[in-house]
Amino acid sequence: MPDLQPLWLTLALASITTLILLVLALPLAWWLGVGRFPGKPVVEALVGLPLVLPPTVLGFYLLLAFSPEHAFGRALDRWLDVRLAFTFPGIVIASLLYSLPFMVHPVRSGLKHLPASMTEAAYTLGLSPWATFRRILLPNLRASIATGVVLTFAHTVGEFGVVLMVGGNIPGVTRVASLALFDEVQSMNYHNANVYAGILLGLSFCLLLGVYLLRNQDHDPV
Amino acid sequence: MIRFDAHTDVLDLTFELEPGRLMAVMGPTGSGKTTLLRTLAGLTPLRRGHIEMAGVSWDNVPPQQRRVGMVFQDYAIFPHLTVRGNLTVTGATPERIECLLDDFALRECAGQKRLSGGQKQRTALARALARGPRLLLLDEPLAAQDAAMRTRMRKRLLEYHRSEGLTTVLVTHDDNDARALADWVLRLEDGRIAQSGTPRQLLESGPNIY
Repeated sequence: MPDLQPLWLTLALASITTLILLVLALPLAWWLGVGRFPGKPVVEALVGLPLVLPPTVLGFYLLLAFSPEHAFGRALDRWLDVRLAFTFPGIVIASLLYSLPFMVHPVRSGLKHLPASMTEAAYTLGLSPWATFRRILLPNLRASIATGVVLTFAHTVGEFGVVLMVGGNIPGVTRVASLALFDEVQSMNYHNANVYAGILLGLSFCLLLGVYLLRNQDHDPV
Repeated sequence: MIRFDAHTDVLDLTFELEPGRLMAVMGPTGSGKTTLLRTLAGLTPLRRGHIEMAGVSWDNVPPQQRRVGMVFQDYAIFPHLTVRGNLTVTGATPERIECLLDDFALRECAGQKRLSGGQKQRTALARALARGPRLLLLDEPLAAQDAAMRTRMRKRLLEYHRSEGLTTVLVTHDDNDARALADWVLRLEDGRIAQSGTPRQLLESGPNIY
């Protein structure tokens, strides 16, 4: 029986990343959806960059940034006594950046599909922009938010390159299931590798199945 | 008194509307009827022009503070709420909501979210009236009603308009709606007033091509 700790670490990383992104991505999606400001395409490109960037590239730059040899890492170390390279908080930050578009894009797409008149009607009824978002738009974005949550969670579960670069492969600290699977294959422990792979496969399939069930439910005829 | 004075690419018109009047706005598609309503509601900013309500400039007043009730052409019903929920979200009192449910034939579907086009439109109408607006803006508010319900809703609308002293702007393509409800008609073309007058003056002279 393989060590289960990498699986718990993976679930912890995916859960924390998803929760934090849920809070951060909603206002960001709203801002990108309705805001008109100079440099908007730059912000959009930065948010979407992890979709096309090799994970090792992001991991490499984060590793440099977190290093005490560079200004950001040195400042964290000196002023806050915080070291992020090869730590669990470090891979959480890396996961937040890497999974950001998987939360922002579905929510933004959901916002785009809501008719503008829904917001406008709320305004004419006296609702403030915040009340409109909370009481009118948010409940109608449930399917999009759920899609974002599932995709973010699934994507974080499957992370390899960025976690390896930023976190190393430290048992009990940063050794998540995808890294443990790689280690087992390297050691030719195919039984253990099979267990990790089977669990990751089953989990990913179930999560994606959830997304498609939600989407179908969302398109039910009224 | 509403003073409306717009000089933009879409609207180039000036009019005054006394309190308690019900003005129908007619004209071909693209003539600026909906834009006029949206400008009055504060949803489309007026770049060149001025709107005054009861002596107070509305130029910088957001839609939330204008106390308007608006029925949108697509109804803009909040689909996650029941009919009653759509009225409750306005902050209207339970008594007022019950009254509106009866008056607009919504009692039977009050707890429903899935509604027919006619029910959605009546919900939008009741919701626009729920918080006691001083200006009612209606964009084709009866288009989805069958003949019998249309007659009934015209009557109800007129009752609310009169009993609550509303000022109402009604966009319609229907001569009969304008005849039955309005005491003044504006006919727009390309954002300008092509004709204005009483329904009798404008609508009895010939068939309405809109």
